[in-house]
Amino acid sequence: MNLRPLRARLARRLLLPAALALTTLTCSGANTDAPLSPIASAAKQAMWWGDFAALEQHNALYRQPGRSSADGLSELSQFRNGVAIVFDYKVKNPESYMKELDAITLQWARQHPASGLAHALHARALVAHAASYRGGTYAKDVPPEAWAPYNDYLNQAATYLKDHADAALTDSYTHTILINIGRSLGWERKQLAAILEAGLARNPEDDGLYFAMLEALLPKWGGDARSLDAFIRKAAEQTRARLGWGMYARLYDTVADGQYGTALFEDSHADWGKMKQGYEDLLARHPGSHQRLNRYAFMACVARDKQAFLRVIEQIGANLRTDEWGANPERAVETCRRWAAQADDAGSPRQSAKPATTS
Amino acid sequence: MRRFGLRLGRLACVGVLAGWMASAAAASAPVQPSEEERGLASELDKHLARIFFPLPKDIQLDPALRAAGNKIAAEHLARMKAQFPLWIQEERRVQMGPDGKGKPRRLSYAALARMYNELAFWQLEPGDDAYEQATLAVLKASPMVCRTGDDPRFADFYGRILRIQAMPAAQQQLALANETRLLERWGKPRADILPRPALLPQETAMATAAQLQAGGARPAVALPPALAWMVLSTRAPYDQLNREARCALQQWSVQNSLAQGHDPAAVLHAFRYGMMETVTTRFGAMFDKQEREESGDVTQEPTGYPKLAAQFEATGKTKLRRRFDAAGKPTHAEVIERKIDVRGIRGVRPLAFEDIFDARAVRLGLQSAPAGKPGIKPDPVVEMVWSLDDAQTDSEKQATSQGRKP
Repeated sequence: MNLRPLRARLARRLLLPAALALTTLTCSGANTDAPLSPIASAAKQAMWWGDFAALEQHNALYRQPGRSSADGLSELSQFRNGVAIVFDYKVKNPESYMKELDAITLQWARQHPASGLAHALHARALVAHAASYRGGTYAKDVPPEAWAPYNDYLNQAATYLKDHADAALTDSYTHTILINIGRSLGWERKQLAAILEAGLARNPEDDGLYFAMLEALLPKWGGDARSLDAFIRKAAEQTRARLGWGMYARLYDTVADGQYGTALFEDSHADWGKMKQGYEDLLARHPGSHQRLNRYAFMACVARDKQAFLRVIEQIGANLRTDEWGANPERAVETCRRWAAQADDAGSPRQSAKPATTS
Repeated sequence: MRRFGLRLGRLACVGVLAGWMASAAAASAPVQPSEEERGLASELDKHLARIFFPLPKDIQLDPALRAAGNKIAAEHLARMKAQFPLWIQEERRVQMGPDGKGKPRRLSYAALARMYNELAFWQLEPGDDAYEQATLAVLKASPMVCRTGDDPRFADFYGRILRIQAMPAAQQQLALANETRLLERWGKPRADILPRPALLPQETAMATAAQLQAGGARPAVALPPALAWMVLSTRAPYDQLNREARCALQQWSVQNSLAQGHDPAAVLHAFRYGMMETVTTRFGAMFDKQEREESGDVTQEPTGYPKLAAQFEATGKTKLRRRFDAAGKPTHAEVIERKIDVRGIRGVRPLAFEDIFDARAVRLGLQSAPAGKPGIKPDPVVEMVWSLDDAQTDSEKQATSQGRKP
């Protein structure tokens, strides 16, 4: 595999906050302040105390087909979210913490050279080390001196994975990490797409790959609405048999969170009809998911689909989950309810202001 | 060598021991000796059962292992229930006054000291070879065996059962049999225990951490993230780590020492010594806090006779080695030898009390600058004598300093 970094410097400086992806790539926007699922919590604890044998066991289990929670989030994603908390932990004196993460993951990889996860975790540690220099701020606010070690650790991670490709690429977590490295170093989109396809060939149900690629295609990372839409449609097609239009809804959900906010339907090619079908498909597969229902209600409000909103908010009843209601959730719930209670007919669904791409 | 004498009157009891003393006081009413003995023994029995042998219900344990652990604990408590009255009787005979009775408080503390010392021996004594090897293997490969929670009740027996759970099934029964044998030794004559390591694992580990912080050479084994955060990022000293973290640091020290080729038996002994709960590690901070509050200046570290030591009537000698700067001011002090006596502990090392004067001795050793006669270097080694004979002021302590040796 050619891991040639391209135009990293120019691209990076134009980009909005890195937040280094590996926290944001977590499907459905895992929030470390929110209560963790048991799977994420166990993964976090195992990583925190250096129980790599347990991590290997969990990883082997969760990457089996058909393993997802009641909310439809794959168990593999929950596992990785838990591990990520340790890598992305903000600490005092970060250098010594990061060096130990580098060292302990390398130690495990050397002891278990055939383990794809072991190599992926070491690369993940190096990426976290890079991110600790850059921070989660806007590129313009990053101290100039931070870019050199940032790039250095990202390149170390890429080189490490290249050098251990035979074992590392047996686990699609490696592909996810590579996409994030490539995005941060400004690799060509074609190259990222190839990594995505290789990862999906390794594990077709590794939904994290789609979200990693999605992040790289956001306008803030140099992407555009049209290519984003093309990618999401393709991803939806690839997962149609398993998720219906569910992947379409989840990916555009993430696009709203990561880029467009409540202007999703004005500024992107998101199709509310397909999104709505996606929520319905997800709920059909995971009935009773309060998380999905709350997100569905919020997006119905954003899309001004009063009928859908009223139906879903009634289903939610007392199970309101404000963390699914955007950046200003308390007010969002309040204003959406007030809008829905109005008797006028201003509630016709919005469609994308932009022409849709073809898949 | 310079000798210091520290003398202080007896002090009132405090803290967690207060409940124990209240019970002892109740038992001190003029009743038949046998009832009193039974009352004192019963309090010891409850103390042991409440503090040291519960297996927490909310923690995942293999049901068969939990049942086996509970059975071992129940058998041990039954054995000790039979032994404690004998301990009290024995102590009464030793302490017997003109009226034919011992003082209940003294009886109580003497028996309690003996119980804590048995606990300390139990924590240090090795099992058979297979048990030792299995324990080392678990400490090398199972980081979660230190996750006993911060409740001190679960640190002792539960920690052992957690380690057994991490062993292969075939070794578990043998390990449980070892645990039974180790507990059956309580109250019996003890074989010699290996000496205290010159440096405990925590001292070596914290020195390694300081070396890492300074960008020095890496140890053979990396620290897990939890320890990297606590020790390197927050730079917490060892005594401020929680129980799980202290155990994890000890476990890391085992791994690091083995990776360096150290003798496995010595490594395991050092681990046990590092993990050993002494009376000081159990109650010292609480008593120190009370001493600071009573002094009227909570920021001032106490330098008098340790209240905890007075409570247990612990006395003895502590030998310190000190280093000095060019002006003769002590810059470093470490305890190199201890000889401790505790009421109630006879014929065995008072393991649970070995460190009872250490912190105070080091503090005094650093404070007590030598006379500073021109041209005369201060003694690097000093011996402190801890005696409870009389109450004296700090200035009197200096006056009791005795002559120097070459």
